[in-house]
Amino acid sequence: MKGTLSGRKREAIAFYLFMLPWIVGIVFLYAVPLVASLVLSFTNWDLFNSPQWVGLRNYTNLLTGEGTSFWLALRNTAYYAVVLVPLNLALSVAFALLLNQPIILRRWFRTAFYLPSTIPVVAVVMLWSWLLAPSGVINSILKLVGIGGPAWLVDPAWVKNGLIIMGVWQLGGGVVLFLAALQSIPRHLYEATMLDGAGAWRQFRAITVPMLSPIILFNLVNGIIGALQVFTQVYVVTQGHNAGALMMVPFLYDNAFEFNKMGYASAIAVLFFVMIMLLTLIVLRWSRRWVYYEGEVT
Amino acid sequence: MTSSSQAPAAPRTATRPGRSGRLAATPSRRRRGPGLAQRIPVYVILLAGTVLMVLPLLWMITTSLASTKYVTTFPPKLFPDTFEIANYGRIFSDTDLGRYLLNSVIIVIPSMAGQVVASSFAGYALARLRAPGRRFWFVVTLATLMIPYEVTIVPTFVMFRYLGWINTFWPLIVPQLFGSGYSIFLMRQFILQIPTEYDEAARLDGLGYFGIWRRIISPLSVPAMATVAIFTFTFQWGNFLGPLIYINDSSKYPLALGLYAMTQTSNVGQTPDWNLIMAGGMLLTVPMVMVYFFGQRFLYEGANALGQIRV
Amino acid sequence: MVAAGAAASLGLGMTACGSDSAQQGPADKANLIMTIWGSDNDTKTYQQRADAYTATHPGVKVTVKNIPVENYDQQVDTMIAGGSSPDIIEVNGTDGPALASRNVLVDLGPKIQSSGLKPEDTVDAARVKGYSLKGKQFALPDRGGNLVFYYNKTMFDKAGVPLPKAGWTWDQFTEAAQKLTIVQGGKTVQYGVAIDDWPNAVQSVVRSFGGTLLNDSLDAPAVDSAAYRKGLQTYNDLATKLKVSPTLKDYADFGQNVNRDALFAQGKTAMIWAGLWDIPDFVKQGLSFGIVPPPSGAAGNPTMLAFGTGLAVGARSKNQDAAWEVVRYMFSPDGQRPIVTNQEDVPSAKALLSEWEKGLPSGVTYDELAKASDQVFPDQTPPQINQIEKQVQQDLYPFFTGSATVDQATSTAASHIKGILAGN
Repeated sequence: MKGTLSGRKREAIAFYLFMLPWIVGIVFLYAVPLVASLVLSFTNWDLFNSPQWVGLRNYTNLLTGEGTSFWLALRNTAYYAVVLVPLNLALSVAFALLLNQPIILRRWFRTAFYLPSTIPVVAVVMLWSWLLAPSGVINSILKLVGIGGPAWLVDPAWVKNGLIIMGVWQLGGGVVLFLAALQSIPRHLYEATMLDGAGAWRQFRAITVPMLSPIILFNLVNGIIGALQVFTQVYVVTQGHNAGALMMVPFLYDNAFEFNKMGYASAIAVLFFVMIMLLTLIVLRWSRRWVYYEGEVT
Repeated sequence: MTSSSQAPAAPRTATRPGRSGRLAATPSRRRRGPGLAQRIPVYVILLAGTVLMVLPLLWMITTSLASTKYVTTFPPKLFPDTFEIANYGRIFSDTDLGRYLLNSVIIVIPSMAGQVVASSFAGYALARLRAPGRRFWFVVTLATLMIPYEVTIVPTFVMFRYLGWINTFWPLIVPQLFGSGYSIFLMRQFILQIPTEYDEAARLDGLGYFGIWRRIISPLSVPAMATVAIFTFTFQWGNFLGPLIYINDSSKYPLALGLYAMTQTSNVGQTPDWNLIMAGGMLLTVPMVMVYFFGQRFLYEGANALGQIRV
Repeated sequence: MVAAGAAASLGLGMTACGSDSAQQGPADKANLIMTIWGSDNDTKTYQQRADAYTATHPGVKVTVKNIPVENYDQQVDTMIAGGSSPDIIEVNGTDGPALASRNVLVDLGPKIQSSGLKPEDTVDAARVKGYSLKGKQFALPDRGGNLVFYYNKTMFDKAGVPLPKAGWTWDQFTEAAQKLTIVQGGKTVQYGVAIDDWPNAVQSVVRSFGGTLLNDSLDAPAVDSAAYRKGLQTYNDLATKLKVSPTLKDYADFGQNVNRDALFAQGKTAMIWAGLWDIPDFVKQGLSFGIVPPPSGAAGNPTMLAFGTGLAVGARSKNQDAAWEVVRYMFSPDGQRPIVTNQEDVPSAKALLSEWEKGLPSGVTYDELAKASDQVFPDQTPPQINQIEKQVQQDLYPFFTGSATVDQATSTAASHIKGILAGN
């Protein structure tokens, strides 16, 4: 501890110097826009003329106005998330468990599963619009087993399911994370229960699940937030023409950048933000009952 | 999961509570369990899963090499009869994909560099440097992870418009230069695992905080930096909404947006066929796959750091 | 502190909107940007006209920027919002009023007056009116055709069906379509007609049955009227009941962005509703075709939506005077001539119409259309027409894909229109 400035002070200064870029980022890319969205949501602004204060009118129009698409967008988005996220989670864990078995060529299998998740969304859509075409490959295969496949990406009643198929195909990222976590569970835990004659299922419930639970929670929250904010697939598949696929962010995008209703779009953003926050809090609360953190004294 | 349920009672006698306290290895024959019979279902399921994952990709490849005649017949046969590598030449000569590719490269490289440096700085600070308010900033960093991007797009658009950056690459690159919650979190977790003895040794050698960062922490945190670089690349390479909002000139489109724009031409005779679109899709995909391939080990180490989420 | 920052950035954003009276450049020296949409031929023609102006006014250069039509409105908006407003903007009956109501287009009225130009001398008075909103002239008509009906002569001759002519009825049309649909081995290899949910065609057909989107005073929807519903249902029945046209599902099979124009160009359908801009493309494909007024749902009703595009001057442009001079030149018959020589479209200038008709490819005559000039009708244009059309297209989509009835779809559309007109 030499020098005129005390060591502590120098460390603190160093901390803030290193943090400076990020702190600037936090302020200008998160904090300010967050507040600005709130403020904007109380105005009508078309980017050209001056904003006009309208109070809560955007919100009432959104929630109760005649012909509002808000609830449709919410329903569509909720359906997409509620189906896709648990499905992905369950399948990812299942495949990770399988991959964790003593098998040969594990690396190849793992790569095969991860590969689709590396493909950029635009290419995924191009590929799947071809595969899911009404007379495309998928429906041809279904026809072989006597099922008449729907117009996956065209029919408003089925377009969400088509999008979900695309989403499931890209679940590789989760598989990799779970596999890594599984492989870091200490062997001695399993071996200890083996001595007690515990069966595979018991081991799964008593060891695997608790040890995996932080990762499961992480994936769950990320998955929900990601699914709720889907945009690119929806836009590229439908360009906004298909009401069956109207989701929150495309809805926001249309209002902000096609109709230039910045205030209205900001109200959508704020409402949606609050919903996501609440949902995340609920999930986190709920998670306390089943997530096990190592080092916790039970 | 082991096949321990099938283990006969015999292991008891084979158990030697060893010096390490762990069960000594049972004879390898036993460790592999009752062999193939039990693991056939595992292989079957994995193979089925692999087929479902890989086959569409295979179709993409074969279609990209198919002739135009093949792609305009329906229903498509499983494999085209002829393969035309010329398609890949055609996407560069007949379309603007080459230009789009270049734009993507121009955007992605500074983004990766900026993210790595900024998140490494912040991760180091949060992991190693004590200061009043450190815990606050860490919580705030985690909080930014929770902020959905859609609540910031309108105001950031307004901000960039004020700065005059519409129709340039700046709105896409600049935010990456400040770090992101995810990358910083990753770096912090990783750096926490580096023993502090290294820092102390360096301090005794007279290095200041920046020196420690540069000479000790950075080289040791290369796996995490690689992970951050890969994530940033993944994000920017496939970024669609950002360019859609900010870029007007079709000559400035990055690859993802450009590929989409290509399929929306209003030239009646010129709608590109599936085979060219798939070839373009391959152009978009191959770099991503290569990055994954060469960066695999980093991803797993990075994932492990995440696995020990400690707050 | 954060709130102050937010308010400050908003405030800065507001002032950065810029004032209309930004420094204006001289009229004889400028580099202008002109935004358009369309095909390569469109780009070529506009550039040709611009270059012709530059030839006599060397200080003024014009760069023509072609923006994909799907993103045109949004990208022009972004350019204006970003402070680099185009100087000359191509507009049509839908995005024009929206832009004009946001005050981003110069009111050309004063300029027209001070230059002594009389637009009605050059073009139809009705066309001029189509580009005015609340008394302000926001653009000058440039090219204009209307929606017309194409038929493939070779297919008609082969099937022995009499060629369509002006005044032909909907029943004659369906009969022809059925005769021209060829099914082989369970698959349709030739469609009598190719329809989809393109709003302009929908509007034209429905109008011929007596239906309109909005009422006459443009303050309430009329999309749920009996006439509209009948027209819509009859139109879609072509694909679903009579199976003489592909359905939207079938289009998804054909590939990305294959629409009715592409099908006609590929020789897979005998008839389509389309604009006159397709003529050069079809000629290039070597098709033998003709154009006529579309069939009418009820005798005496209009059948052809007038489109046109016009040219406007950006209110945020820094070269308004130079831009105006270019627009003025392009409005004159000389300035419009390349439209004719390149077979791009129908020119607005009355003087050029006969030249244009002469320029039609051999075998294609305008005669039948000339007989039906009373069947042309203009679009309804409240300022929100852009949003209304997009919303209605989205609302009618389930009807076209068969997951909603005509009543359901039009009722949804009506309630959306009400919301939009109410300032939603």
